[in-house]
Amino acid sequence: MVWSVQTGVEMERLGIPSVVVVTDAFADMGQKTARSLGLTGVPMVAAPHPFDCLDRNQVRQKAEQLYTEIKAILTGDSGALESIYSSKIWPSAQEAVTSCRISHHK
Amino acid sequence: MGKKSLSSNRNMFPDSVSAIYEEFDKCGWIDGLPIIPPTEELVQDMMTMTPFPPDHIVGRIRPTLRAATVEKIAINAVMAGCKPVHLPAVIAGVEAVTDPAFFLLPIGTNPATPLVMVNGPARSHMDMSWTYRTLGVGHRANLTIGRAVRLVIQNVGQGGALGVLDQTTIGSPVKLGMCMAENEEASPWEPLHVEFGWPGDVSTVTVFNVSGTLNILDEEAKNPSSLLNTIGRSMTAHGMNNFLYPTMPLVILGVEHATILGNAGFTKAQVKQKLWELARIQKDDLSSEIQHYIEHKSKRKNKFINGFIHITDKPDGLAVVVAGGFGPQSMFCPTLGFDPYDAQTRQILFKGEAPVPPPPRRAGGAVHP
Repeated sequence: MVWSVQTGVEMERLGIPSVVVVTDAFADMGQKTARSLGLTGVPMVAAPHPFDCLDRNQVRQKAEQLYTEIKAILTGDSGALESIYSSKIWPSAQEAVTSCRISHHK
Repeated sequence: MGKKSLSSNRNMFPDSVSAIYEEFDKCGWIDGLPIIPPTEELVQDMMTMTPFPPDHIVGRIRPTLRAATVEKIAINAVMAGCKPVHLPAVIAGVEAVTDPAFFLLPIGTNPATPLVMVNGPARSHMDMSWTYRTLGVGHRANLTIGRAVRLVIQNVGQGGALGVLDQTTIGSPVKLGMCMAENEEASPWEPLHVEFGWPGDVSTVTVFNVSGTLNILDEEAKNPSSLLNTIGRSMTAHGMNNFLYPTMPLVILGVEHATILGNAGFTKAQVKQKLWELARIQKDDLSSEIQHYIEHKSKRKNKFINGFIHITDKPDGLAVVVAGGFGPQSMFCPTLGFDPYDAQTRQILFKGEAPVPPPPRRAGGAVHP
């Protein structure tokens, strides 16, 4: 996740539209990582945790869930996006774990 | 020469160690344990034995790549409880972990943390233990040097906010930081830094990205073959990072165990060879998913050899040192890395000493071309 955020921040600074994809378990940490790198509002979308050990169909399902938001980010106004994503409040890591937002795939 | 002015922000806190501990905790600047408040006077004193000025950049810490200056390192060294004589080792440790060839993972779910291995005359100069408890409790130098390096990584690289930017899944005591010294005097072989090409009378630190420790007990072995069987097979646990990725794990032989091997005429290279032969997992014992990962995604060069995956690509991918006091114990430290990476060594430089040219970079103990 950290490297994805770092790459996303660097891409944005180069003027290349980018979106960072994380899982909800790490979204809060991703936002704070971006803040520590000086770009809190880097656009970030979160899929249900985890990404590990998914088969191709499961990857496609998660991608389809995120498609609309990703498309909006890549075609949207950068200033507006920064404002939206810098003020977005993600569940904390503790909340993400204890509220069982982690999806168990079979 | 007068003291140079410091550039870090000044913060005013209540004049109480416990109150400062509370405030630093709120700021995310500690590891959970109490710290020594880094006053201006203490930070200036901390830098009296290093030849580098406060604004000298030792390295840049991932992921923020913020500069770890001597001043910042000194601040964290004060907090950790170091004495001024320890700072050169902390500086060398920070320099080593910021080498691009060292896989520093300050933020992640794995508890891997740099283990700082000290060699050379600085061991006694800094009043370290290289015998009993060298990796345990009781010796200020051993504990505080490792802790200081960890605090620098956290506070400079992550910008503090430990509780937010560290999501080690379960965590480990290793995350407080580790530092130990090799028992060069009791070793039958050349010390680690000499093996890596440094002169024996030069002091160095070597950093390993250690994710845990496994104590190995064998008080029954009467011959080297039996002993190596115990130690080598202790290094076959499934789930260890080393079987998946090219890294350099660390074997710490206790003095008694090293003596058995040395007296039987084993060279260090022969010890590595035998351990490597034993430290393997049969392919069919691995889950199908892990087999798939190793075969299709791992960057290991030598994957399955005659139906087995060995702990490293080649025997020389193991690091072997001798440390500790008497007792039938050795230790294995699995390590973490996702790309071909290697342990890194740097000179410990005290004020008045001359730097020596570093040896050529090794080809990479973990991965061979």
